[in-house]
Amino acid sequence: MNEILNVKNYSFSYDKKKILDNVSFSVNDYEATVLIGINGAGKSTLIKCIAGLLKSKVGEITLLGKNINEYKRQEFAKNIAYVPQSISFESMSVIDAILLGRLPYFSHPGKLDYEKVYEIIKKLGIEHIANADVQKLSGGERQKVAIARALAGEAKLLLLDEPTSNLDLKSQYETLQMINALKKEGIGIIISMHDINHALEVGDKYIILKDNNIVAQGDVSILTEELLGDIYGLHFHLIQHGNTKHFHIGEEENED
Amino acid sequence: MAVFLLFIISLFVGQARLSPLESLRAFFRIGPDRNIRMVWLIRMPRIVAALVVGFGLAISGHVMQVNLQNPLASPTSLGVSSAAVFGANIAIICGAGIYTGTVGSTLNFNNPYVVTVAAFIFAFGSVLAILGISKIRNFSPTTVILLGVAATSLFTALTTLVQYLANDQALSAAVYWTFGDLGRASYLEILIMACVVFASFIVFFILRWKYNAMGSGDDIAKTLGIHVNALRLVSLLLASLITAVCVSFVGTIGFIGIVCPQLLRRFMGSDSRFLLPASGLLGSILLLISDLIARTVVPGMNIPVAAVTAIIGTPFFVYILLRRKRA
Repeated sequence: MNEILNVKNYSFSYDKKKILDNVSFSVNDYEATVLIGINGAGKSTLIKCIAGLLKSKVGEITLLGKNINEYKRQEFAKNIAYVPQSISFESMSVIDAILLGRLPYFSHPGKLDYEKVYEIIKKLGIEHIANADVQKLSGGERQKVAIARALAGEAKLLLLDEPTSNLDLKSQYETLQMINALKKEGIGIIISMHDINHALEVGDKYIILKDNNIVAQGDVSILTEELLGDIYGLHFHLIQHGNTKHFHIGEEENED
Repeated sequence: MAVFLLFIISLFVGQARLSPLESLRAFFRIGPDRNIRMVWLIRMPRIVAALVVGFGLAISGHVMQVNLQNPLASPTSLGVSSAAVFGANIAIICGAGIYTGTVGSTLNFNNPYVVTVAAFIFAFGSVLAILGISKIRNFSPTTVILLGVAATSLFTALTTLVQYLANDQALSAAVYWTFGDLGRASYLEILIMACVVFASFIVFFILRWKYNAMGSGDDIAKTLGIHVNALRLVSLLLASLITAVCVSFVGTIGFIGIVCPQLLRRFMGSDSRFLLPASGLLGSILLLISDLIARTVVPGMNIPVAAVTAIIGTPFFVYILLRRKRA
């Protein structure tokens, strides 16, 4: 495994309020790193900073060994792909929507660009909607198209901001399967997630954010009932079957 | 095809009672000089001006709507029209365009070029000022739109003030200038408008994929390698340049720029590859039809084409909106 991304002593403030405070971690290829924390903990901000959408002078983010601020925009776009929490498309066919992911490579799409798009469509199993209007698709299908668009740019690092929120159960399952399949192809993935059990389905590494800081990071062993209970203010009960972990979640018991 | 048919009909129709055959012969420079002059100096400039201005305003409207991410954006969203009207009013009232009477219901200005240049300077100056101030907020669409609203209010107020201080003759000329009139433009002026519209269209068409990406929001566009602020600046500048040039030469013509892209969006989606040229063609068609009606609905009189575009366009637009909603 090779390191793709390194975040070192990185801080980000907005209107003099600290959103991220001295965070450090790294991400490898073939790995999914899951960001966990309550709303406002800084997950989406961290993803946007890595995507180059928010900038700070404190700390350093390097992508493939090069500071992200030193990249030209198109070169950077070839290496990193971002799928936001809320996805919107202009009214166009799925093929054309995915083709937009090739924008760092073309001003007018060529044969190679279309071949790449068809390859991704086949890989994600969305041939049946290839010619449909992307605005008329279900939330789950649009999510797949957004991920397909991100993959079309052949990025080494994929950033997914809450990819399973607002999806029905089947679409959630399919999205998680897709993430696992992408990992195996060598793409490094950073995902922000609320659902701990979804995180367990795809995660290789976990970063717990609380009060603008990383309070724990590591493999699945860091996810303990105590830590999660402290983060979410809920009661977590670990159920383990062999190597498979699952958390049952309930309200925290009163101590009176 | 529709454009060609309308072109032919427009050539045959006018205040002068020329038969279709006479008009056609005059088009090929056959027949009496009077007829040839009628077709080539009165009808043709209007027709070509309608094609160019309609196309220009419609593509400008589409680009504004994409870049400001607002379906209500129009070619005049940056206060272009009201600034042009103020510029023209200042020039007219200061003596550059004193009302000298009507010939075939067309007003004559003593110095039309001064009026046009003044209108353009204020129109484009307003755009540059708005974009300059917007830079502070990274060309945020909301900031640009609100500054456009503020500029429109300011120039409207200033125009009112200038008109209040003007004498009756100057006031008549100033008010008349604000009515859109395609017959005002000479071939040279049409050529200038055509060059600006065509060059801008080429640039917009090259950027069509980037406009499609912007439909997914600024963040996605940036992560796809697009310099969003630079793209927005260039697009708004060119769209406003088209509007400033057209308004300066033919006066204010509303409705085309906002409605054509919106109307087509309902039928063919929002893909700029198709919507951009289609909006332009619909703009040409709509303005040709409007001008045809303006020239013929009241015998012996040309009514302002801008009034016609809105009167025939609004009910049609409302019908389309309601029909699609029911469907």
